Amino acid sequence: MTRRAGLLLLAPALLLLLPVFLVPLVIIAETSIRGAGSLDSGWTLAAYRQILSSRYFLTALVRTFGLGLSIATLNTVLATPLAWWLIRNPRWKLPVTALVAAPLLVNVVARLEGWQLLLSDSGPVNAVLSALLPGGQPVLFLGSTLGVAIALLHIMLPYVVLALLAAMQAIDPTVLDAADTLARPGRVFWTVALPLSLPGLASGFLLAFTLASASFVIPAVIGGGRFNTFPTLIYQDMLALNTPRAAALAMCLLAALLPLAWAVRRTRNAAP
Amino acid sequence: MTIRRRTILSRLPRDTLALMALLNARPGFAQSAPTQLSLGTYGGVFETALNTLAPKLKADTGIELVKSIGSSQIILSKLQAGGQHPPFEAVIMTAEAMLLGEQRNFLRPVTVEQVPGLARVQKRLLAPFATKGGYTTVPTHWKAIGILWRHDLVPFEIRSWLDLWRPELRNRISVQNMPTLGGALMLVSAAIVHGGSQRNLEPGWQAMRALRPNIREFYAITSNALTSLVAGDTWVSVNTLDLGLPLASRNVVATAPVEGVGYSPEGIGFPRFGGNEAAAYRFADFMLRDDVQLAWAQQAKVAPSTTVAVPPGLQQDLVETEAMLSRLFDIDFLNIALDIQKWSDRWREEVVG
Repeated sequence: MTRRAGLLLLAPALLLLLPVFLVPLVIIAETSIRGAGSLDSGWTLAAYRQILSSRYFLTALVRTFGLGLSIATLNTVLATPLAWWLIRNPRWKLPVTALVAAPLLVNVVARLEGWQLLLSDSGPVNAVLSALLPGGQPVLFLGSTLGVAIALLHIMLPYVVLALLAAMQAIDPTVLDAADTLARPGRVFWTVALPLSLPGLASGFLLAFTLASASFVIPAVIGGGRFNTFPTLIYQDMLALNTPRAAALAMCLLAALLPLAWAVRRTRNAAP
Repeated sequence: MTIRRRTILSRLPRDTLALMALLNARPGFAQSAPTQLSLGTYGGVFETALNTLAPKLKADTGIELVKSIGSSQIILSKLQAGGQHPPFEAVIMTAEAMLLGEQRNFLRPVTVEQVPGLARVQKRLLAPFATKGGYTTVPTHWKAIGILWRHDLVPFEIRSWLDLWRPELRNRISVQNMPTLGGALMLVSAAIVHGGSQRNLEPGWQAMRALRPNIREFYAITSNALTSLVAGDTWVSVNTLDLGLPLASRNVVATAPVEGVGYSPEGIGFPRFGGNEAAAYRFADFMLRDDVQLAWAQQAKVAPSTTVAVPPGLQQDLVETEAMLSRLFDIDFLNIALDIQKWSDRWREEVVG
């Protein structure tokens, strides 16, 4: 393919990315160093100073990262055996994949209301728990880290499963057949399938990590306003018309996410 | 003339913003034909109520509304971004957003000569909007903020704000989060009932820190607070009282505490460079007509702002009465608008934790 043809193929995507991603990014960066949120005010790093010198914001950043990392790790742990089982049992692939991907088809508001009712003190989850452990107090899911984690795990799982499935499907079946003749299934998984699926695993992990770290609605609603992450703080600053600090928080979140994205990308590229 | 790359890059954000504002102010929208009026308003029941009133508005005044839906903060952000080309000719927002808009010079005052219906608005509701040269807002309705509670779950009768601090309510209360008017009113109410005032908020801060073990939810969206209340996760919600009336069959009681109630007067404002002024004033005056006030109250489930007599059939759907007007806490909405950023930071650290 000539260089010109390559550029032509890239052009539509670039034309879309420029106005919807790069220009807003520049505007956000510019807003973050603007004075009192007006076009006429001067430049200042006050918003960044405020964030970096506040224990509250730094704790919220750690909380945001902790949430992203734990959701991505737990999802990877849940999704890997599932994807492997689906590869080994192809007749179940379609129905189970459809079941896993189904939450993506449900509107986020409906999903949230559903989680609110399921996890409420008098909801079915607590009803089952109290049947199993009579006399115990209901578990307070709503307004807690546990509730936020459950809802996020459910929402992010399809992304990781689908990424892993794609990677495992790309493994040459003859390689797996050959491995099957030499070792037990568990060993085939650990020594052959998993290393060869690393690019998909890394993609799924990265996707779950970034989506969970940037998630706003679930921490805001299921967290009951008590679980502040960077996205919820950005929203609150926007409500208070403190646009420079909201923009600075967004830039800090982006800056904090980029090194991890780079590290995961390196892992993916280093895979066999 | 030499244009350097650095010059272009440094101008890009500002030029893009200006271009976006110009696009927003495209002819036919912000500068619409006299019969059209571009209105920034919040959605939900208000949008439905405006849609219901639309045929009457068009028949009586010739005005057709072109609505853009968003929260008060979003509308205010758009006015700020629009500068001299605001995307709206009239806006419906909450009191503190109106006063902040006026403070930042986004809105122009209005007089009784321009909107004669202002003479019929309750003095108590008009007072917060008095400004040099008229009023910041044409108040169209108001809402009382009090306590909604589940009589089947709370082990005593709630009559006072101070009941919220009782240990039986540990982890069972929802209050609106900052930075919203609801959150600010909670803080001010806490200050008032603990011996302080809006000018002396320290008792309020202390009381809110003490209330923390009882608060389960700092809600951003009213419907979430109501879902939690109906589900029984929370037993008490500091909320708009009228929202509790339809939930009576779900054991929810709406109580206006004995010390007084918070309130939120809302209405129509006029962007400084919005244009189409005659139509904007005609629309505001239409909204203050007796028949429209009653229809608006019925559709939007809010109390009329004027002295119109509310028939008993409608009054049973509203908590707000003429008598309640004398029991409203003294609220300085401008002070809320100016200090809410500061309060919000402190609230996060000391109350939410």
